[in-house]
Amino acid sequence: MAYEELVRRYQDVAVRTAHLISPDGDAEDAVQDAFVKAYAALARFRPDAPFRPWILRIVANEARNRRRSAGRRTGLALRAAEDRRPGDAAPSPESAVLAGESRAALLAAINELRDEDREIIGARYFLELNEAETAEALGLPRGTVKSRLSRALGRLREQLAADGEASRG
Amino acid sequence: MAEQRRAIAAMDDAALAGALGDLAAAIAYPSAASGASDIAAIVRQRLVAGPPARKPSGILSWIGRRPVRRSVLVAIAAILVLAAIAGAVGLGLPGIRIVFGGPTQSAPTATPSPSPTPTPSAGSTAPAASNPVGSTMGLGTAVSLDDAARIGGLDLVLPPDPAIGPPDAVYTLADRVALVWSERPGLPADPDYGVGLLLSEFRGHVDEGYYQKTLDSSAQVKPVTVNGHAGYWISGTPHFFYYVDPSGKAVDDSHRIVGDTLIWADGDVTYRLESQLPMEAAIRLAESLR
Repeated sequence: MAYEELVRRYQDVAVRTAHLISPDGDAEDAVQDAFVKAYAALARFRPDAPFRPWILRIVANEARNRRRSAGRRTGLALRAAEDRRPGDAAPSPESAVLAGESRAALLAAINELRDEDREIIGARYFLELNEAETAEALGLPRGTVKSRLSRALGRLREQLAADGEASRG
Repeated sequence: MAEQRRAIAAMDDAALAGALGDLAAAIAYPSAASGASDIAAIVRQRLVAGPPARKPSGILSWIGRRPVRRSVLVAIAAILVLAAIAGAVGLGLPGIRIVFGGPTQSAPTATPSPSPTPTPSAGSTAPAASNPVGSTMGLGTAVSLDDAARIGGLDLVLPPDPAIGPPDAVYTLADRVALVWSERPGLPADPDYGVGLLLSEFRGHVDEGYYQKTLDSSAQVKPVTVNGHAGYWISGTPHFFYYVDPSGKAVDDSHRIVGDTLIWADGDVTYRLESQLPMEAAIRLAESLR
């Protein structure tokens, strides 16, 4: 069935999306449910719209439902893989500076953010969605993505700085 | 860690963006994000096992309630743009809408193998002993030509060429009729099903419904005319069909792809001709149908 092929194309980014939104939820389970629901909703898919953000929005909603029902737990957090680097990618100047410990510090600060901030940073930087896709996937007005991202990054900086102050000495 | 945090907090915007981009590659995702779990197969099994419990809502139920002639296939269209598409283009045609997209992601484009699962709505499957051509394509229930015309509510048109003759197999699925010819001189077999010609005929209402087709990025769409009726020639790659039937259920109709496709509408009937023929020959064949 062709839908299976379609699922196959988007399942990886769907699992990443679900995981970013609900790190301690069952991302795979959320993604399965999302694709099943999307099938039933195909008629609502606008033909002139791209498919990826449409399916990611359904995935995001599934993941949020799970996050809500699971409640906030202390274990909820994104984790970094054990310093595994993509073998074929040449490190950027930034990545050379940002060694493993710095990555962990940045990730820790992201995990301290509230959900909306973590989601928009995740959508733009981790999933690499553009502004329009981010708006669609997260259910935000298109014009607000830039400002919301800017505020989220501002709070990320504050979080980084605040904790840095608190930990000093 | 405080040291690193302060260092990152002090970065300028570009450096912070770079750090976030760098972090993206390091995030530990569930193994399912790298293909460890065949979510696609699981989803297929769940869909085959039964429809989701939720009732159709919104436009689905609206469509289902429309006082559309029940026997008419409201060939609407659910459309799957198989790509991250910027600026997909829809081509309008009464009764037909075709959508195609831009570059796809690096997903494999293997031709789906014939499904071992019969289409659920087919009701029955042909006896294994005498598989007529096309029996594994999910075209529906094998019927006689007369029954097909009755079920479809159509005056079926056929190629008058005696070298082609009557179809080798006829299927109906809902009120869509599929006529299948195996290989003939001049009608080479498709590599997957051994089908020389597949002609689909069904009613799609011009006002109420539309019919859409999603194409992979490498597909070519060329506007053509068939006996003066607008149509399209679609070539280049396996493409994907979805209908939404009058009950609002999306019907995956993709098994029928056996080659390049000529699609056109004549009044409220939509025709789809699939074969290995080049465009001009396919149009000639289409224009000869009686």
